[in-house]
Amino acid sequence: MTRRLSAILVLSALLLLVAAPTDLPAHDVTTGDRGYIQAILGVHLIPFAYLGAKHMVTGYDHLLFLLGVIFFLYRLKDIGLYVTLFAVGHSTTLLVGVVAGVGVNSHLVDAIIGLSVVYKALDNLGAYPRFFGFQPDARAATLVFGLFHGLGLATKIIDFEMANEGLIANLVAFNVGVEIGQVLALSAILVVMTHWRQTRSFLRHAAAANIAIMAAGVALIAFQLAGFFGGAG
Amino acid sequence: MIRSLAIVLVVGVVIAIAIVLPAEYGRDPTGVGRMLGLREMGEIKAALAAEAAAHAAADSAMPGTLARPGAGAMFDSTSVIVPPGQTRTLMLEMAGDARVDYRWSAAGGMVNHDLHGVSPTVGYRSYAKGTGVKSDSGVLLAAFNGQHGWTWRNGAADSIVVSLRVIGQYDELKRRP
Repeated sequence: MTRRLSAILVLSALLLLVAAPTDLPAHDVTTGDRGYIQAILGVHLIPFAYLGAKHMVTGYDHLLFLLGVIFFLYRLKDIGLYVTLFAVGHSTTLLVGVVAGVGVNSHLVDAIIGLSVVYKALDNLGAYPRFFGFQPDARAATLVFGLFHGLGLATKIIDFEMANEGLIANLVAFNVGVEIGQVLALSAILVVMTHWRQTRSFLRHAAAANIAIMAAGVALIAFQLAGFFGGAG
Repeated sequence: MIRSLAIVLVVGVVIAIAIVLPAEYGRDPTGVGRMLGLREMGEIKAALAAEAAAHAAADSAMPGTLARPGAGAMFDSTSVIVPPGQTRTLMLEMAGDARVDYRWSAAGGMVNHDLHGVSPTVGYRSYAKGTGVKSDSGVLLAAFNGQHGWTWRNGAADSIVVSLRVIGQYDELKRRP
């Protein structure tokens, strides 16, 4: 039973990887979100908020990390605290990264984001006290990994080549959209998690689920490192 | 259990129809997309996708007949959105007697256009003008050193996307709001 569940979870994680939406360059015309951003000028608050929310909701790496973070959080107060820490982290590097033009290799940042997924899953499995004899501060880790997630967002926005006109306003709108998307995704995750927690299967399969999350994180790292060293994309 | 899952499902469907459909495909059955400025995004994406498909079809239908940039020639393909009642301008930095082949088309409506050149010494000179035009192509011969290019005006109620392709002798393509 446990094996079947983890197989399903690993499979769905892999499917997410394959089905990930991308803006493929079609000939010499830039299409999709990137094409839209390059075709417009000036301040467009709601469209950029939409793009931010879309990025979060379709960003399976961010969602996996969030799932790991709230996996064993039961009280709404705790969920609020951790999600806020994550939001403060990624907002900071998103805004500063784009304004300062910090262009980090997107494969490396995304590999670190994959690492954050693995880290959190191991944390949920209780690996740190068992193997290293101490429990790292989960709040600090959430904040620090939030900074890396923001760096990943910033790298993608720099790739959009947004016009300088209205950059700050559009950027803030994008960031607000990211938070809206996070709340939407989190709500959906919490609804499913809450029901699952009420069943007996939760505690029986919690370890398997975190192993599956970890496997997805490892897949993310491998995928990104292959891209980095292979130069694909 | 059933209730909260049903709420999630309903919210998801509402978001998909009212927000995602207009923003990604320019389809706006509820009118919410237009209110939020998201339908415009979908229309631009659709126009760009159609343009990309048209380019790809043209390339595969007539291999080798498309003018390729020669030595020192520049090539650009870009789009600009012209909001209702406004103008947008794209200019090429060109030397006198320089030659550029161009083609542009408007998606979402008709535009008024003015092909012209400007320079500090000569001032403004119009090469060609038109009203209610869907597309145009031809050769732009710069009469003097300076900026030469197109101004499009949108007199309609909806935004129009103008896609421009240029090939020839120029230094830089500049976008003027």
